[in-house]
Amino acid sequence: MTVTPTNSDLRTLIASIVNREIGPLTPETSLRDALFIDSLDVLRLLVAAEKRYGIYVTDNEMAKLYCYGDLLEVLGIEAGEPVS
Amino acid sequence: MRIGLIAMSGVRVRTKELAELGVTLPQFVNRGEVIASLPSLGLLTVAALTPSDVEVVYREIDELPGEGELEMFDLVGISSFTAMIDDAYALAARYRASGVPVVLGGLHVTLMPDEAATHADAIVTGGAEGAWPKLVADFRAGRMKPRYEGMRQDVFREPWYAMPRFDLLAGRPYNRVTVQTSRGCPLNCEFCAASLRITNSFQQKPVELAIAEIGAAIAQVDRPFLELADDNTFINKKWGKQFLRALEPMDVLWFTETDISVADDPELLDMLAGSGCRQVLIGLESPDAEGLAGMDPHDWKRRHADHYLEAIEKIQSRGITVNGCFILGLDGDTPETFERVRDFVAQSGLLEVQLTVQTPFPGTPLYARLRREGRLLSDRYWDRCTLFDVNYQPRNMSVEDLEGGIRWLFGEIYNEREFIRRKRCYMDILHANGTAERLAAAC
Repeated sequence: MTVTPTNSDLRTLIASIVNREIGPLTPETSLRDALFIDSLDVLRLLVAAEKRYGIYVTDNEMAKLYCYGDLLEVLGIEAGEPVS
Repeated sequence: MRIGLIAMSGVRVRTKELAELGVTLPQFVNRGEVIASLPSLGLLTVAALTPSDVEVVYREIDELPGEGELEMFDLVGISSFTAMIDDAYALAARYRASGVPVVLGGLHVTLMPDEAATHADAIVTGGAEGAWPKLVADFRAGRMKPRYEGMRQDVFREPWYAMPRFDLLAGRPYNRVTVQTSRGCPLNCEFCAASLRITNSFQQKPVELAIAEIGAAIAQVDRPFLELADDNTFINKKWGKQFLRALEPMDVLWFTETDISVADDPELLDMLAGSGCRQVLIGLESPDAEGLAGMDPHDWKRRHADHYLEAIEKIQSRGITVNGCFILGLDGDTPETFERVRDFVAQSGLLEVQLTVQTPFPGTPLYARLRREGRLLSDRYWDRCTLFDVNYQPRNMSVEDLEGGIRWLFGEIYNEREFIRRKRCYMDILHANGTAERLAAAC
């Protein structure tokens, strides 16, 4: 069963992938430098998102994932207020 | 007394076209940055072997200090790779000219002791264990000798063993830490210039010591990622399983180098995945079995090459990525080899690929053989031992063929489109093996 992607659910998903508490997220938050998500964890996050939200991340989308805002865009989530 | 321990790291590719290509290839740059961020475990061990009443300062530098920037000590120990050894010698000369005695050690110094001895007040060959404490005592007594021979066996046993000073890593801007669980490798490949050259035989660290070191190392940094600084971690499968059982509760993500035989043991693979192993780096060397003939004394790699594809699939199906390493310019290679490597990579589903050119590091059996055969391009080329510059006459092609083939293959393997394709391949594996479902349900 798939879940509707939301800002807070994505945040929870990221925390479970990296297995630690994460600080406030803004669209500009760098996945690598701010969240210390390495390239392998990004792939694990993407497959988890594909499964959880019933989506498919295209090659083009994969190529431009640098910050949290890119993830929101791929998942079609409104950025809204920073979530923490 | 204050001792400075200086690691000179960082490697600059000398072939202009390849250097220019390297900085534009995303995957290549990523791994280069990771390697550059790894600490010098050898010097952390030296620090641990230093008497506790001596102040030890650990520094990592990738270029010579500017005028007036030389940090002063009572004694300096410098360690470096072959490609940077001339810079290390230049640094040693600066210190000696300033009146600071210099000790040189490490792999290159062990392999080329006579050369190194002309640049230092003392050299340490072999491991630091058994040599460094004696050297410091002699230095204090004003009778430091020009050469000290360290232990080549029993290095993980009392009274020689010392846990590296991981506390000296506190505050570094990197999250990668390294721990060594073994020294040497029984495969004994002809080209290898790694720790087997400073040991008489394969040395395995007891599980409890390895685990204690990992605990000490990961405590120094936030969000640690562990790299085991071994040449071949899972030679001994029984030891490997004991180690993984003890490692699993530590909840750490990690990487190591091993050989393709890990794929033959399903229980070991499950334990690797369960203990947080994210990637194993494996020296495949060539997709052609015949190209591997004679690489090691027992033809071990040649005998395993036919199973590479099946083995990679078995490992990656657990969610553990394989970083497959290929050496270009082997004696069995021809100008057609580059295309075969490209096709093999595409077929294998390898997520990451490491391409290097065969490099005759001084002191290795490969160096001795190529020198004997009159195939070395110059007598002294240490600054070109970068793993990307060609320093010998290949057997079945010209130097230009090899250089051009490497550039072509870099472009074929490391481009963004191919990297994305390999990522999607790995993601499909995670979907197929149930990892995606588990991750998606975990939150």
